[in-house]
Amino acid sequence: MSAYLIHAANLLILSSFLVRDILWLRVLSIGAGLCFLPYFYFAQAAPLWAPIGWNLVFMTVNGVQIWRLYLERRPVQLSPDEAELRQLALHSLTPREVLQLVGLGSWKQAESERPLCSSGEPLAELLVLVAGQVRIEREGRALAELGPGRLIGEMSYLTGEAPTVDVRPLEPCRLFAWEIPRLKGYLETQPALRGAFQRVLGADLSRKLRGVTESQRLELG
Amino acid sequence: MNLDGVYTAIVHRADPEAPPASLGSLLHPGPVLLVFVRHFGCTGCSQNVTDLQPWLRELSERGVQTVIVGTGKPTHLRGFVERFRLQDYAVEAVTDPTRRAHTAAGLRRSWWGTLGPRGLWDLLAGFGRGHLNGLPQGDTAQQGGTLLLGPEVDGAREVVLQHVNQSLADHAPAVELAEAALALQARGGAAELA
Repeated sequence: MSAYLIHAANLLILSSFLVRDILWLRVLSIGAGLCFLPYFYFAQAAPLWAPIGWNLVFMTVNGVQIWRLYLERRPVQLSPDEAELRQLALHSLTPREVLQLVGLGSWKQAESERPLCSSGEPLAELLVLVAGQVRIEREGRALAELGPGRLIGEMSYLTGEAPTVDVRPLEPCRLFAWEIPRLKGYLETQPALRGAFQRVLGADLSRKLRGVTESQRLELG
Repeated sequence: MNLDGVYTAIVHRADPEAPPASLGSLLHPGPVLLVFVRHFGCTGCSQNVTDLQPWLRELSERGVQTVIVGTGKPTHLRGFVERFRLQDYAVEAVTDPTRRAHTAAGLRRSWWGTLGPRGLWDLLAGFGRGHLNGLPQGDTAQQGGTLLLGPEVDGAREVVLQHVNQSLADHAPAVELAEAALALQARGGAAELA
């Protein structure tokens, strides 16, 4: 029996060297450890506690890493609201990335009386318009209107400067908001997500600048 | 840092037909990203360019001209351009074997940066990511760096970002450069609105 155990353990180790997926390498390694434990306990004149102890350490480390890999790989289910947010503004992000970002912000309602941001006043939040319409104004002059899926405050987010325009809801609006320092702090620790989110900001900014230039051109006739 | 020294450094291009020119004469009036690499066979330069490559299109769309400056011979530059397929990207690659541009940009020349513990770790980490170190193709003690220059206004440019590499694979993360370029675009947009 003991001969079978030692061969089974080593065959499992050999198999773990042949797989390329780190998850399966760890699973096979734990399988090998499970064969080694009875071998070192029962098949010896006296239990060999040192190898038993080390095997338990290896199995614990592998078990924790397997759990982490499982958490990273399991499919993500978005709620209808989160799916809508993704479809409107964050479609280039994976569902997992969307979930990470949603966890950092909150949903908000805005009434039409209060501006969402005012020229010269520092902006605390980066907003995504989920439902409703807003107007971008400068000194009372309308520059553009934005609908669902558009970002509000990305210029301030990027430059760290106060907005140079007012943004006023034209009707009750539903928004998703991130506190800028919190979002920036988190993205600094997540380079891949930071890159993906930056592409979202870049696309919206370019679209906005094109739209404003177009409306100014039309205004100038 | 001496920006005039950077502009007046004579550089060679990958195209053998193109005559040597001052670096300044190759720059567009808009924002410019100058990426100084060490030598063209270096693992750190390979990591730097590979990190930057996915962002080159965005940088170009954000109005930023990207120029990679090395220290090897023009023949080394041609191999480097082919290896990274830079001819297919919106990027200019040049070489300054005299290192005048590197020196004027305030970058370090350090054997410790190349062979010290951090340099050796960079070498190992690069190998782990599939970046092998080739034969020296330029100055091996020269460390790289990055300058993001704002658009030319009245003949002068603002230095928006400067990163002086401390060791052979140290470099400014491309995502930070792209974000700085986006901030420049946003500032330009805000100025247009004003």
